Amino acid sequence: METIQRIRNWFKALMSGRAKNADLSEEIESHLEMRTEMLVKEGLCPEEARREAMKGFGNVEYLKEECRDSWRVRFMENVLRNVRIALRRLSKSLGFTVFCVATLGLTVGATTSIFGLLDAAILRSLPVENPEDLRVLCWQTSRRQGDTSIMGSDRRLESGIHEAAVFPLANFVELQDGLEDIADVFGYLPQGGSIPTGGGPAMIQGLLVSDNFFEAYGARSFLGRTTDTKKRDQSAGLDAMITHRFWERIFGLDTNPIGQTVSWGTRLYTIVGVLPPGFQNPHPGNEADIYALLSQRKERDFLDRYSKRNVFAIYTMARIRAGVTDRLLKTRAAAIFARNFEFDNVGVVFENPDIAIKDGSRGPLIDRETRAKPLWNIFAVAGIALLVACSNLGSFLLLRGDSRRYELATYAALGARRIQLAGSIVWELVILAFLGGSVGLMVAGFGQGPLLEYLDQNASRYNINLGYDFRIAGFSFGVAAIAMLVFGMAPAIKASRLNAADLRQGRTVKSGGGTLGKVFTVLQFSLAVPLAIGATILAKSVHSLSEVETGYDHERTLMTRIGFDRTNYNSEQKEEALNRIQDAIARLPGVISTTVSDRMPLSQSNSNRGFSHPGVDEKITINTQNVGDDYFETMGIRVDGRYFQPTDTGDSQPVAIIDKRAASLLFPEGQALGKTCQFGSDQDYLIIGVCENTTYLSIRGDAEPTVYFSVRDNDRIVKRSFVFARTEGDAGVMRPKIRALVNELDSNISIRGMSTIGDLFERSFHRERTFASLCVIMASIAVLLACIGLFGSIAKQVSQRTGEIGIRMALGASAKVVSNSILKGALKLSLIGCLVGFPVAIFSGSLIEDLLFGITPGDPLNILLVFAFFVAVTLLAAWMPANRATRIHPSVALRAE
Amino acid sequence: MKKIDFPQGTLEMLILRVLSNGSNHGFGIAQKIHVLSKQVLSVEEGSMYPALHRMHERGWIKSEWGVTENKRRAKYYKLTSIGKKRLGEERVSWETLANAIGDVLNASS
Repeated sequence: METIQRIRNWFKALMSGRAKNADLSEEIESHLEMRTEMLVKEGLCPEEARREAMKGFGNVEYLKEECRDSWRVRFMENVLRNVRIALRRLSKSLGFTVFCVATLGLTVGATTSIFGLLDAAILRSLPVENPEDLRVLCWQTSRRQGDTSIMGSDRRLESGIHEAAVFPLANFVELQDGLEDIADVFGYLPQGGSIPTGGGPAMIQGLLVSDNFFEAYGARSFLGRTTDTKKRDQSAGLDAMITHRFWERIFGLDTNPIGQTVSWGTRLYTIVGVLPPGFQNPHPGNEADIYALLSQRKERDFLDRYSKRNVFAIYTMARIRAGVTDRLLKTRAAAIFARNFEFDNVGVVFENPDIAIKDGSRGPLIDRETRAKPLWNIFAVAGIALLVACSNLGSFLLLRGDSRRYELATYAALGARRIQLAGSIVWELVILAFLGGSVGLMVAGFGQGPLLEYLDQNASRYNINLGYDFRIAGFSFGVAAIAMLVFGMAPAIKASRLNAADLRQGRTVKSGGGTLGKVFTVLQFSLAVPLAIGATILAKSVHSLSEVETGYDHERTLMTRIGFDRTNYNSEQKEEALNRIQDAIARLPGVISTTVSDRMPLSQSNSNRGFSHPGVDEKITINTQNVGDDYFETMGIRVDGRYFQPTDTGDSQPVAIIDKRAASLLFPEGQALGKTCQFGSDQDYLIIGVCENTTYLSIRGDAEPTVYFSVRDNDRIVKRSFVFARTEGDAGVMRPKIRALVNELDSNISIRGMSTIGDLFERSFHRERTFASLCVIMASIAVLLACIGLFGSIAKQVSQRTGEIGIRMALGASAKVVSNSILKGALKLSLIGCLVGFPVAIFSGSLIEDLLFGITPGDPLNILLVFAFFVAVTLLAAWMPANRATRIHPSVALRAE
Repeated sequence: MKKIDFPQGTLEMLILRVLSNGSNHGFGIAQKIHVLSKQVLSVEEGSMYPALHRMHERGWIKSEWGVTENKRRAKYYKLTSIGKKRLGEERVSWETLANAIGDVLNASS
């Protein structure tokens, strides 16, 4: 009882640290006054008496400190002792403890890892000065017409409004000038380029930034200066800043990088400064290592590409000045943006152009939000699994509380108070929460990296700082503690209601209602059902996606993406180099045919044209692709009519091949072959072939009509160059050969990617596949836990009803009747769970509709299957205790009474 | 009058003993020890408080604010059941010890 008395004192001390100090002072003061009074009565004058009293008392402050020490020592001793007692008790039921810690740890760990990813990806503010002053500018339009090139993230909002965070370079400069008095507008353009390293060229991400970038963004240099400095010598070469990481990797930290030159892409840069370790640029997931100035890139092909007013490429952000409202910024910026379209040569119309001002403390979020959505989905799934685990633990803690009833009732009979009784259970919860949180943190530490890799094949590109920090640890322990306290409080409260009278009921526990245990069981089932539904519909979707006919030969076609960024070839030279590569690949043994194209299938990006065609009322939007002569042969696409031929040169009659969808769209009356179409240009293209439909954009996309032009008509091919090779056997084995070949031909040309169509196909539903498999894992855990929970609760019921069952059997009830009644009870619980769970499942399924393919969350067959599965597992879980009940011997039962 | 230092731990025993006659405040306890010991034992008053607080933390005594005969506010300490038991134990062991020491000192051989 001493222990419990101490817990009480400890709570008191904790609650009233300050009050206790005041109390002590008052106590000592009253002592001194009494002594003084006594001395005055003995004849001393008041001052002298006070002095004498103080002298007799000793050093007041020192003594106070000693009293406080005794509280502190007590406090620590109490904690240690309580922990020790709870640990001893837990170690006596090791199985229970291990089960609790494992269940809690695994689910908390899963949730924590995903929280860590979410935190790193979208929740954390950028590590700069006053990130709350940063804004992101996005334009919006209800409809756009004409050729626009949006080289950055954009999206269509649910209202149909098109939104993007990238602006034309010229308009960006206008925004900078026009908003100068209210905000520092800054911008950047992500760029890749390779640098020479010991082990061959390496691709390095970088940002081309505005002149004021670092100052406005709020970052300082670690070494040297930033590129911002106005005093820059105009005649000198191109300035660049590098990250600390880049310095370490390329130069080594003992070399001074300032003033050194580095060749990045086609240019040579002088390093003027190094950014601090841990620097993060505003672009989500961009691990740019080199920062150069937009304003110093004056070469023609750069300006050609970015100076047009229909090319949207510059991410635009602003640091607002004190007192400036978002509304003001929006109004002013919208007026400047609208002016972009007043120029004659723009050729684009934006209807209702507007500007949206967004919080920039975490960078432009369009990408982040898109990338975070699957994370939120997984977080929700892990959260549900955690809840299932918690209610499972809740029901086991209830059972444990019941089994300690006799012990606790004894305490109560001996005079323990309510809070003391509850305390003996709460300390166990605290320890379980601590252990569970620790395991969770460990799981998260080990699991985060692989999880990220798993979720995103390009994860290594992202600048996500994983690992432990106080937020992650806080989350892990916080969740574990809340879970334990919420779901474990019931037994503690129950314990606090015990009194001496409960002793009389004896050791066998009478069902104290058991309602809560049933609630926990129902809860587990109602949560497991949505997970199971989610897992099944996702698995089916993935299966249907993998069955989609793309129209390509998956395994025997290899795509190689050629990069010219390290050369300074002009268009002719590029074309010539491309031809040489194509010829060399064609000569490789095992290659049947080769071709080139400016598009890669299933890339989720397209190039399209809108135009009017005589005989068709509506405006037509059609995908365009420029392909080499043997494209259709190489890709295995059947064509009615003829292929492109070497005789189709730029001087002869322009020709085009369209797919069947385009044919029926352009020539609804049939027979497209031999007809002509302008496709929005001023030339008549002769349709020389109609080909089978292929999947162009993505496998789940609504297939769009496509027109193919010959590469000879168009030099676009040299900008984005894909070489395709059709092989006799598995195309994958050709990879190293082609790589070596290209390297040998021209070491300046880099290979930016190589995959079989099969790889592209698989990659295009990678997200669905990973989410489905995670769901399947989580759902299996949840179902397993729900079954264990049900098993536990039925087993408890059976042991509680031992007497009753025994008597019934003694009176002639058959084993079947007894076991049926138990199975019925179990089914009832899981049915209620299902009843709650199915509507939840259908609702939450509608939230992931974009991941589904060929199935809806409410698919009746699927629901029926899941339902049957749950009935089966319920019967399985309840069968063992039910079977045991039938073997109860009446004499045993009566002894139990 | 010569002051005699308390052996370690005896102060607590004496406090328990004083409180076994009824609740009292710190000053009263010090006085009572002085009086009961026929003016031989004189507690250094301050040092009594850490002892009181230690005993309080251990649950031997409990405290409550009250009013003295002179209408002064003071904190009264009272024995708990644990404290009572403790006093019994301390007393037994003290007497055993004292007798044993006495036996040794008085031994004739």
